[in-house]
Amino acid sequence: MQNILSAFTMLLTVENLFSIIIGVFLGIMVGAIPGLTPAVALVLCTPLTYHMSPVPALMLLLSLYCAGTYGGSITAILIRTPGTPAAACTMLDGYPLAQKGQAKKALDMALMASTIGGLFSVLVLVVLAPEISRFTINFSSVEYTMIALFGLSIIVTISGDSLVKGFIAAALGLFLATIGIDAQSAVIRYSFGITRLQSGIPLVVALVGLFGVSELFIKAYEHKKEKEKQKKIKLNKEKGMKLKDMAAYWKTLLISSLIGTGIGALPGTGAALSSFLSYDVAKRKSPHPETYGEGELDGVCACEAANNAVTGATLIPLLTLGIPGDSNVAILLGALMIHNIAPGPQLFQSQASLVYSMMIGLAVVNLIMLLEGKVLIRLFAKVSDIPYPILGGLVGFFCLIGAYSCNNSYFSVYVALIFGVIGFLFHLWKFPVVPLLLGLVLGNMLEQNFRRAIVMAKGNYKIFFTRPISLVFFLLIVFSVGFSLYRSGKKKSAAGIKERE
Amino acid sequence: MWKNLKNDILPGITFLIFSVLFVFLTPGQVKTTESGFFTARTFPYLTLGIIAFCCILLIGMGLMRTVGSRRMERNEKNAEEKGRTEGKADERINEKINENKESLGNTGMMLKVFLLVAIAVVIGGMVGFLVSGIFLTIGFLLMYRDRNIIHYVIVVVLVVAFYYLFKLGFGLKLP
Repeated sequence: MQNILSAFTMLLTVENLFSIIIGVFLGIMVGAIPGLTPAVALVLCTPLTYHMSPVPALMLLLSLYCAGTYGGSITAILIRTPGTPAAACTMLDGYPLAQKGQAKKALDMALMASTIGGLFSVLVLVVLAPEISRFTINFSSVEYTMIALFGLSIIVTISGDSLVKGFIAAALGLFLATIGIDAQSAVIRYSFGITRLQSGIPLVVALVGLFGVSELFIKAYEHKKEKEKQKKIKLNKEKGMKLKDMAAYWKTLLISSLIGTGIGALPGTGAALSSFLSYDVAKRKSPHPETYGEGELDGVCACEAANNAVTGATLIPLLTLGIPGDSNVAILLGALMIHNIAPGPQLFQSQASLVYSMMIGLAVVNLIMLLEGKVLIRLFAKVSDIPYPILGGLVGFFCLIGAYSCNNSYFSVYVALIFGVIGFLFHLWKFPVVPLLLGLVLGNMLEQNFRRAIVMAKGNYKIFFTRPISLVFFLLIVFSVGFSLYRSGKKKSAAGIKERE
Repeated sequence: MWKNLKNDILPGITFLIFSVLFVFLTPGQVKTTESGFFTARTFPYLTLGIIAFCCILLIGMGLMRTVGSRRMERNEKNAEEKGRTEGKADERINEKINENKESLGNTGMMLKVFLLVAIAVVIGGMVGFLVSGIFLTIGFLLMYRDRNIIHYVIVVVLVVAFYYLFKLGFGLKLP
């Protein structure tokens, strides 16, 4: 309680509220622009937070993340183009509703369901995270090694079609994380005589390259000469929805929020999966499933409540174990590190007020998102009209500034350009980028703890399987990898049968 | 076949060369006097080993798929010659042509954008971000053949505004 009260005093300042208002505004704008994801917005804004104090900086980034996830639904409903992958499901019923002249209703439903889903996950975060951290406080290097491996095991679920490619990407990330001075032996590794490389590859610079610069190359590569014009539905003075109308959808809201929170808490799953899963559940539970896909408000409600419920839940593994569940949270982890905040069990002991202010701040973000979404919806609906050439050039400009301001060095700009090329090659060769990112983030944690654990056990590897918690994590890894392999094998054999037919 | 070459074999070879190269570079780049099982070189060696092993797997799988798709093509050709599955074979060939077209993408445009960004990076180092930002944004509009003059004015105004916002508002030390 003490922590919550001090978190409130930390949070309720003009600077923090201003950060949230700006972050929500930018987040919805970016989310509403097809092709620009919250990850890009986070990457571009992280370097700008260097000169801010930790709380407003984190509030700005959390607002971008949360509002960006909602923003994707606007274009999904109005132009049948999801602004973010998580909003793809919203399109199924959102666009047919808009065609029926109920665009405002669909947009209001998306906004309110997102807010309720987001608030639900914050509640779960506030209740669960401190308990988990209390449990994990006594973890040693052995457990940390297993946690890092568990974090990496999600490669299996995010590797798409090729697990081998996921492993290559993750191993490359782990290798790149070794560049710089080794923390235990003080040996310089792979610096090639470049002094700047001795401190390693800055995470944010790599992120700017992988998610920002590479996006410019990918968009150019996928540019089609003939323009595809989408028919946009205009918002007339039609009647929307009120908050009290949401009472009729309480069941869907509750189930979808639970699904979103549950899935979000598992590393490597993501908002897109949660929205499709809860859409499926809502459809199966509905007395009239045939209306789904034809313009059913309940469908929009299910998708949006679930995908925004993920935003709070993804912070559970991040804050308690230091494991980022997806690319957005990995960027947040980078931002936390910049502000000398090391996520993990110790965080709840050393900086409890800050953690609580982040959690309560996320609730405030959701409420401000509701307000801004209600008032400025017509403005946000126009964002998708901005031509890409204008946006592309500006994104490039922000990338240059973002990379440079990481350590006021032009060397970082060149590194970002190299990572941009790597990101593009990954896209071209159909390699997943997130495992590379996870390797970069978790590499140091894995190596240092593994070394410490081995020294502690005098070279005996059995230590990883004799300690109970470590063994539980090991079993979780085996289960997660085994289950994913089984599922992908089943999928492949089904596809093979279909092809033969 | 081209798809397997592009998606599996080519990256497999690239990363295999990368890992082998770094295995040879490691003794020179990681100068350690440590003894024992785990030194500063162990983890890099381990990761490079995983990369190399997975690359060999990837190349092998790519080759197997190539052989499989060739066999399939040959079977289809035979079937077509026999006049039994003409329609299906035509359909497959068209599908493959479209697939290859899609996988090629707009390489010219990508290279142009890469050059534009690379030049902007170099210019930024010499004359600062304001000029390189204007060069980059205008270059983007020209590259995408945007003929609306207002867009050019907008991007220049935005670049100048953001540059000074970052410099004076956020206190960034920009060149």
